[in-house]
Order: sequence, then C-alpha cells, then structure tokens
Amino acid sequence: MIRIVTGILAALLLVSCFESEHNGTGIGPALLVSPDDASRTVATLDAVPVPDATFESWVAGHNPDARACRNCHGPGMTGRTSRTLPEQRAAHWQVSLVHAPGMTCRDCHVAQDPGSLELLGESKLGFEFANELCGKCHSDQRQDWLGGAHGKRLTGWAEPRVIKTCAGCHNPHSPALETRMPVAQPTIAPDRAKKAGH
Amino acid sequence: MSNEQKPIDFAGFMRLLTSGADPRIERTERAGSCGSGCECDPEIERSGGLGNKKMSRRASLAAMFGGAVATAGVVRAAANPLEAEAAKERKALEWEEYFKGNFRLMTPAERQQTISRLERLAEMKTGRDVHIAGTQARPNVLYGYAFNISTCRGYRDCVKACVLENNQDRRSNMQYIRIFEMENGRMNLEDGKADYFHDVPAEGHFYLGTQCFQCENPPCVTVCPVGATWKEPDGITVIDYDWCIGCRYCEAACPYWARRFNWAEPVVPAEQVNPRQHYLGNRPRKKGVMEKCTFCIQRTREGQQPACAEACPTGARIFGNLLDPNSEIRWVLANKKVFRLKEDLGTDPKFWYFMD
Repeated sequence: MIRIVTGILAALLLVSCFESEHNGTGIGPALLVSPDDASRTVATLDAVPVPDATFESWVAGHNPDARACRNCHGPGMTGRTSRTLPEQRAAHWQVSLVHAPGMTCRDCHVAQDPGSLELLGESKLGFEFANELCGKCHSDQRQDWLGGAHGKRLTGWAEPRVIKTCAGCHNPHSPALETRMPVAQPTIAPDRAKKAGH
Repeated sequence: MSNEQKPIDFAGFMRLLTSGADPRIERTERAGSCGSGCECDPEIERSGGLGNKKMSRRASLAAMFGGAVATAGVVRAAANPLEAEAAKERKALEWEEYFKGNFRLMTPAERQQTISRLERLAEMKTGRDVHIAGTQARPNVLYGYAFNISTCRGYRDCVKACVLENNQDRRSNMQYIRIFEMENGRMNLEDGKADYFHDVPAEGHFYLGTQCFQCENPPCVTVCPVGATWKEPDGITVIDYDWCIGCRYCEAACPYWARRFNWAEPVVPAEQVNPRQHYLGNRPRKKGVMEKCTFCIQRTREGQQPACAEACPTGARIFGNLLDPNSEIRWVLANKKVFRLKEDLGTDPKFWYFMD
C-alpha cells in the first residue's frame, strides 16, 4: 500500500529506521508539489511509477532550482553575516527568526551553500527534505504526522493520503501560528447563554 | 369472549358505518374462516379490498382527492396559462410527495421517482438545478471522527463550511457544530463559552468542538415514534425529513444536543443553495422537522471528507474508516490518549477527542 505525503517543501528521505518501524505498510514515497496544486498531485499518481512500498527518496518532477533561496531572497548573501551588512540585509528582508531561543541560520542552513539544509551536521539536504530536519527536534510531531494525528489532509478519507508538510502550515523561521478573529458567530439563546455562565 | 376485547380494525369500522352491524360480533363469527385462525376478512379478500380495488389506504385517499386538485388547476389555467401550468405541475408533484412512503421502505424505483420529483420541485422553487443523490452506504465502511483539542484554534472555519455545505437555515443561524472555548485544566462543557468573539486562540484556553457524534447506540433513534430516523450501515444516523412528524423526542433524548428543530420555514438564499444534495443529508428541510449533522453524507459516501474536516486549516479534525486498519483514525485510536463525552451513558459515540 502506498501512502502519499505532499506539501510545499519536503519529501521523505530514505532512512533505515523507517523500514523497521513501518515495515512497508506505513508511509510510502513522498510527492513534491506546490501546496496550491493538490488536485494535480492526485491526478498524476497513476501516471508516475511509484516504487513498491519502499522509502526511497522519490520526487515527481522535482526541480531544486525552483525553490532556491535566490528566487526569493535575491543574490548577495554570504555566510551568517548577511543579516548585518546593509547591502545584504535586503536579501533577507522578510526573514524573522522566531524559533527556539538561541537558534541561528546555520543551525539549519549550510553556511557555504545556503540553498541546502544541514541535518544537525550529519548530511547536506535539499529543501525538499525539510521535514526530516524538523523531525530531528520535533520527533513527537513527526511521529504523529507520519501516523495521521498531525497535519492537514488534502484528499478525501479514502486512499491516497495526501497531507501538508511541516512548512505547508508553519513558517520554518517563525513556526508559531498567528492568532486571528473567528468566523461564523453562533446565536445562543439567552437561557443557554445563562447556563454557560454569561 | 376474548375476541371482543380486541380493538376494532379499520375495515371492520367502515362496515359498521355502512351496514350498522356490530363488527365485533361479525369478527367472532368469522374467526378462523380462512383456516389459519387469523383475522382476515373473507369478504374483503373476495372483492379485492375496499372499493373493489386492492390498494393501500394512502393510495385510495390519493385517488379520492386527486380529481379535486386537477380541477383546481384547470380553473386557474383560464387566468394565466403558463403560470397555471407550472402551478398545476407543482401541485401534482406535491400531491405525489405527500403520499410517498418512508425512504427505508421504498423500492429503488420509488426512490428514484421521489428524487426526480424533489429535484423538479427545487428547480421550480429556486431556479437552481439541484442534484439529490440516494447513494447507499459503502460496504465495509464505518465512519469515525477524532478531534484534536491541542490543535484546534477556535477559528470556526468548520462551522462556516458546515452551514454552507448543508443548506442550514440562515434566518435562525442554525449551526450543527459548537466550538467551546475552555479554560486550560477544566473539562466541564457547561463552563465552555461558545460565542467567544476575540482573537483566537486566547491565552490559557483550549477549544473543543461538538456536533452529532453518530452514536453506535443512538438514543435518538430509539425514541422516534414513527421510524423517521435510523442508523445507516456505515454508522451515520440520518433523518427522513418527509417522514418526521416533528415531535422532538429525539432532541430531548440526545445527551449531546446534536439535533436541531426547524421552528420556521428554513431560509437559504437561492444563490447560496448547495445544489449537490443527498436525500438523507443536506437537501432542504421544511418547517416542523428535525435535522442534524450527517458527517456530510453527500460528501463522505463519495470518498470526500466532511466539509468541516476539509475546511479545518489546522488539521485538528481526523475523519476516516474505522474498519480500515491503515486509516488515520485507527492510528489515532491506537496511539493517542483518547476520550469521549459522557461515555458512562453507553451511547458509544464514534467521535473521539485526543491531545498531542
């Protein structure tokens, strides 16, 4: 059985421990698409050859250049000084790091190659594997996300399972979700309101 | 004699009116006439029933009064032919609708007929081309729901989607879903505030949503005196809106306040009507009948998620097939600490709450 996981950035990496955990029945290969294009993902499932119940890194139509830093941030960034030099600050004008206390760019990004991510010093990854990086610290959430208790599902209740990746909902630089006003204000009869302590 | 203690049946009562004879005496005489000891009336059997025609009470009443309606239509035709034709057609359809049976007891052909009539009536009323499905439950499917109280942020996007999807009355602002704002550490729903109006999530609060829990042992079904509500094979409790008599027993019996009553004719602007409907789901209701959440039966039976789950931006709502061991809902039940509301009542809701 193949379960498909998709979203903005990430696809799953071949990690040997996955195989022992799920033994081929859990999460299958991941599919990389833009988040606003979930329908296309589902439509192409049959057309794309899917490895049989392995956790092989597999990305359909993957183009690393499409998500390179420079597409948003512009050129001119070199190393961790980029946020302090005036001429390079513009390249990161929208990045505000509100993650765990004490975190810096280089905790996730490779200094010499900002278009790549660093898995806690272990290996260099493309942005499509950001989920693995998040999961290094947020292992509980990752476990829930793989199992089905965390994450926004984009398809119906039947197979295939297509859910958003971490960055599909959370801004990696500022992962806390913002507050906003609710919609659909209910009308509550006075007696009920009284019961509810209003 | 013991026979005299039995209640008078309808056929016997009619005979009493016409012949003046006492039907109780007659029944005593004819007891066992067909050799099986039953109470059938040999005379009616011979003649093929009342009025020499074998037909149900509903059908015979329809036949008796049908002529009157047709005449009324002809009289109107003199004034404005087009309008009168439409009125005539509508009256005829409404007449047929009035004498139809319970959806559960209808043959497939009868179901198709009533669906066609309802679609035509809706088109005449709103000008919208609606589609009413009668989709049956899928085999090996039992729907279940899980709600993550850690993740829900109280946006109420689910409520909005539910109202739009299910054609709920806009005038009374009917909503199937309630999202309660609860203080951290408190689990008493009576302390929950449902009409909060400020930026959410509020500090020190969590959000808990309720709706129909589609109990496996639904008390609302037990109390219905006319069999207008029942549990489908896929676990969804539904209502036949055209069979409901509006007694509201089910509303009183439900421990979760999941059922809603239409005190007035529901109002949904024609342009906002969701044309994708199901006979047992979101087709327009009328004054004096109950309605409730059906897990969006018109969507879920087509493989989609309910509108609330699809609209939820946080992924706090998990919907799936309880009989599929690989489904998300099964993973949640197996791996998370879950609870249900008022479990001690034995209603066995198929709606669980869990935390991260």
